[in-house]
Amino acid sequence: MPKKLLIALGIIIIMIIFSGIVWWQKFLIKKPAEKLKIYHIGLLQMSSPVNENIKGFKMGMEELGYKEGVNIRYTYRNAEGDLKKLEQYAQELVSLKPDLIFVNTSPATAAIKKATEGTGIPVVFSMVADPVRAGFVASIKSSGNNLTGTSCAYIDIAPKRLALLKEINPAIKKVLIFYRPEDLSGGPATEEILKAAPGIGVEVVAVPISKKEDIKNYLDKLKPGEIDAIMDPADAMVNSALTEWGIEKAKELKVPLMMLGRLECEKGALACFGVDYVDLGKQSALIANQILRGIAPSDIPIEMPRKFFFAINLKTAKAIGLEIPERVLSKADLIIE
Amino acid sequence: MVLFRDEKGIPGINFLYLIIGLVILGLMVINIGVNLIWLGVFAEKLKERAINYEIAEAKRGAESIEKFIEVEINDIKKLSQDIATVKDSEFFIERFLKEHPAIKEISIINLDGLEEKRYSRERYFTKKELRDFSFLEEFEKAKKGEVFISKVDFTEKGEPFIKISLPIRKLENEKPQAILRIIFHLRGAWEHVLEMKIGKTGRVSVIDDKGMLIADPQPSRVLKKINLLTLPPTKTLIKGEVFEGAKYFNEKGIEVFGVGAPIKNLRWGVIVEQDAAEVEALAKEVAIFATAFLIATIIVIGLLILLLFTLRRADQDLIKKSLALEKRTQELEEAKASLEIKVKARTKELEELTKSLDEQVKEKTKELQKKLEELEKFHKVAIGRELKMIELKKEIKRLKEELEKLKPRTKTSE
Repeated sequence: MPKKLLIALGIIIIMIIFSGIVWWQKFLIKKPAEKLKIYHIGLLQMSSPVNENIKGFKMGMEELGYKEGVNIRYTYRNAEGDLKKLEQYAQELVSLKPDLIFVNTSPATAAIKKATEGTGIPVVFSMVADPVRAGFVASIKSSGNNLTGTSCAYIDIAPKRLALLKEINPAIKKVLIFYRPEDLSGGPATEEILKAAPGIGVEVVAVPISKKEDIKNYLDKLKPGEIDAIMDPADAMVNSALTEWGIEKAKELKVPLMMLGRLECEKGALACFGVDYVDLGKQSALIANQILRGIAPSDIPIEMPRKFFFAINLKTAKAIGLEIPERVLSKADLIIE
Repeated sequence: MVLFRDEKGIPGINFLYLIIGLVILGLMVINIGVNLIWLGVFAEKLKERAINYEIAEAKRGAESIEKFIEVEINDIKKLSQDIATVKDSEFFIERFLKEHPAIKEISIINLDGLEEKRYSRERYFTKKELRDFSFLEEFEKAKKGEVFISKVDFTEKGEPFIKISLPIRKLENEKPQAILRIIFHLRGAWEHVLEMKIGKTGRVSVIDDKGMLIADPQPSRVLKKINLLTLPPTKTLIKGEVFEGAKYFNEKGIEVFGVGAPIKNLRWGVIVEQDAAEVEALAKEVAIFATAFLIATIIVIGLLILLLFTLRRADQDLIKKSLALEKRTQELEEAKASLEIKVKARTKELEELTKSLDEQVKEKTKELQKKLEELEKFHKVAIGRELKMIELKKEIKRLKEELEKLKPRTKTSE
């Protein structure tokens, strides 16, 4: 009897000691990090001129600790201005059920809004001139749906851009603007420009268009002296057409061309004033981070850009025989010489 | 103590058991005590460390906001002096706007309170949009030479901002030439503070001097204009003191540990809240471990005591059996001794008997020898006679035969 009891006691003690060691080990040894979640982000853009916005978004995400290939992966689609492709890509991205979709420009946001309806996939948009007027969100303070993001305030800054154009060359009297009345960005921006024009002391020639080629046809017929400057109000299609044909035509006519982004200025537009695409992308990344941390898109107000970007191309200025005032140059974030 | 001594007064086995038992109990008490104290202190330290970390983060956030705003205000003060000294103030203002993205608007107000110029990097203002400030507190204060900083307000687009008004003058003691009015957007100040990572549930928010929430990771809360005056950290922060931490229920009804650090110059405060469950998680783990450890210790010690009792009982049985055996051995030895005596006596008797028998045998042998000798003598005598007898018989027989032979001849003759 005692022998059996001793064995039983021995086994119990060994078991207790063993379980104690196991527990202690478990307690002492640093727990392995929880399985790292790899976030899947869909990226959709209308066209390449806003590439820097996507770049800025990715940079912002990286600054926030999301390393591509480590804890985040992107599925990128660029419709290159093709609206049909845009809708197709929007559907495709939604079918992949990403954790979030980052989209830039109004047309792409419209496509993604439609595609994500009823799915609950959060969407962060960027480079949208007026998300309320476009019907993407209920109000700036709360979208009331699965969308939130950053506005590029192109409508708000449109008069300022015209004023800058006048500052660049005070002799400007007549400014040519192409716009699509139905465009959610270019249309209202043109309205604002038209409203501000008399105060600035310029006449605006606003030409409605329906397709890109309309711009080419108009520019082809344009003769020197008919206009003093050309300006892109903030329409993706107009932007694309002016980049393609307007830059050269402006040089030919020796008139200033005011565009929106750095890329166009680098390609030869005299000036650009718009948002800092990279910074706006980073700003959008902050919103995406809030969503990935569990905050509902409807709880995050739409943000206005933190930074605006003004660039002057002195090569073009020289080519068109224009001397840029020192005060204007002092305002520029970038001077291309 | 008598109980633990044997008949000779020497400490016995029970005394040994008592000592072992006391040692085990002592160890148990020390073990439990030490572990309770150590683990208890350890758990408390863990909690303290988590709270200290929260406080450090709150202070860091407060300092960061304070520094950001201080730098901006100093630059604004410098701008007001530059404008007073140079002719082309517009150049300075435009450059200032470019270099300070958080400053969204700059106005020059004359001493009558009328806005003369309004600058913005992104907005174009017409003359119609120039305003009259003569009736406003901010203008009056700036005109008196003070720096006016408004409470946090929000633009129609939900952007938090403050208004700063200050005199434009070359030197501090001079009369103002005009008033400089600045619209300072605060998002830049919030961003890195609100992005602070404090555990899984940590959240940083900023309150103003009235307890209004002015920055939060969930901006919709700010837009709802929530007043956090009822929260424990708020009152302390408004006084400009650090709130060292307390457990309370936040406005969502979640139990949190909250700490706070003041942004002294503005009388704002940074509040860091973390779910109490998360703060106490490690301490709880330690407490569970301590409890389990104590239970295991008690079980082991209980088993040792049980083992001790079992051994003692087994030992007592052994002693009893040993004593019985000893008694039997003694009995056996006694029986053996008695038997030996008896055997010895019997042996002696037998020896004597053997001796007597030997003597008797010897006598009888002697007698028998004598008789044998006599018999032999007799035999010899008897055998001699017999032989003579045999010879005589044989003689007789021969003689008879001879006689016979003589008798028949006579008869035939008849």
